[in-house]
Amino acid sequence: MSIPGVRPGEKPAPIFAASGLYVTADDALLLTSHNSVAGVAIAIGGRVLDPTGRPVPFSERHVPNTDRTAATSLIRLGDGWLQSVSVGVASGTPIFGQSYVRVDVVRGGGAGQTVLGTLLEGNVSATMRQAWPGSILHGPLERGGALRALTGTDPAANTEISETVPTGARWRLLSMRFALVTDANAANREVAITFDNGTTVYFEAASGANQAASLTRQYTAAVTNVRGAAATGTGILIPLPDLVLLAGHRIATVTTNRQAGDNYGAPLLLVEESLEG
Amino acid sequence: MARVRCNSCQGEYDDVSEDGVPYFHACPPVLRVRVTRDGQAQTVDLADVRPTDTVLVRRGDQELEVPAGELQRDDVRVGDVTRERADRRDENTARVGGDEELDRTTGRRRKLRARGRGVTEIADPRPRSGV
Repeated sequence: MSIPGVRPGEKPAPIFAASGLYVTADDALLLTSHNSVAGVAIAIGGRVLDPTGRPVPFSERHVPNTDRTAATSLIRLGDGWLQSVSVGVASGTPIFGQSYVRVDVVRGGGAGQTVLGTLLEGNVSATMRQAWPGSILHGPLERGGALRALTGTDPAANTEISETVPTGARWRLLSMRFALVTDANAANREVAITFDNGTTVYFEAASGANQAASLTRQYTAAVTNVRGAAATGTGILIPLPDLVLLAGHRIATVTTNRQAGDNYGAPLLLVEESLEG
Repeated sequence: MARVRCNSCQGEYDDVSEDGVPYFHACPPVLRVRVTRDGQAQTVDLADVRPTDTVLVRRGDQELEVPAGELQRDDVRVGDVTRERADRRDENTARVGGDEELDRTTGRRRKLRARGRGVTEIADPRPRSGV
């Protein structure tokens, strides 16, 4: 094969033509993050080849919100060919599913801002970056979430357990464990677990076991098909379905025949938490 | 990380979970019991039920009105209802509206769904592991 302008047996001259995405001073990179962990900072960096062919690196630090709402930073690049962008965690130790980023090329600002293209989007963690070119675009809900074991509120006596899926999150409840201490009033209590959308219950699972006065019982609810109570121990197992709960939905106990001195302990939940993005 | 008590429902929790994720508390509803008191049907807080109030219970296959002081162990109280607290606190971020409050974990102001009666920092009664 012959190359135009190159004689046989002669090496071709190096090609210096710039590659990448041409941007102007009117364009910018918009970094958007969603994050659930305290103490995280995001680093974005890359390189632009300016019109004279000189590579110009850039880097910025971005502090995401910790309540899963969007935080944004605008990075001005000037004229040239954008050649690479990389986004990673600069400080903090989020695990997969706790920090999500997207980088768009935009023009203008405010309500008139136009997104010209999306370069990268996906999760970043203490060990995982997103890069352009290279990374595949992934929405925040595509690749599973963060596994979390969290302790909920320890309710006062005469109060049910109630945990709310946070704003900007989705939960798959994998298991839940809590204790109930009953007071001395003679009555058979039965514990059920309900899911609601903030107002209306759409799922309820009863324990199928009575708890009498002055007893402590440990309840475990898990994604399983069996229900049971220990013969001599204090454990009671409640089966749950494998459901995804949206933000604002609640996981709660409902206790038939609850008495004023009955007291739940703080629930320990194992959930897979995804960011809505 | 601090241990706090909700002044609305008296629930206790850590403002940041052990995995570093801020925890957003939301008060549970309150239970109201249907009673007949002085000939008047009404709902009262569970803690306010008097022995002389009559409550509707299921006893075997029957539903009966029974004085609260004479309930039997196998009676099932019927007609409990739950109500949201008037002073409910919900620390989740409000998409619209809400009450602004200084976020204890970030030092920034943030819109909560409902501030309720606020929180009080308390000593953590739980034993801490470590050397």
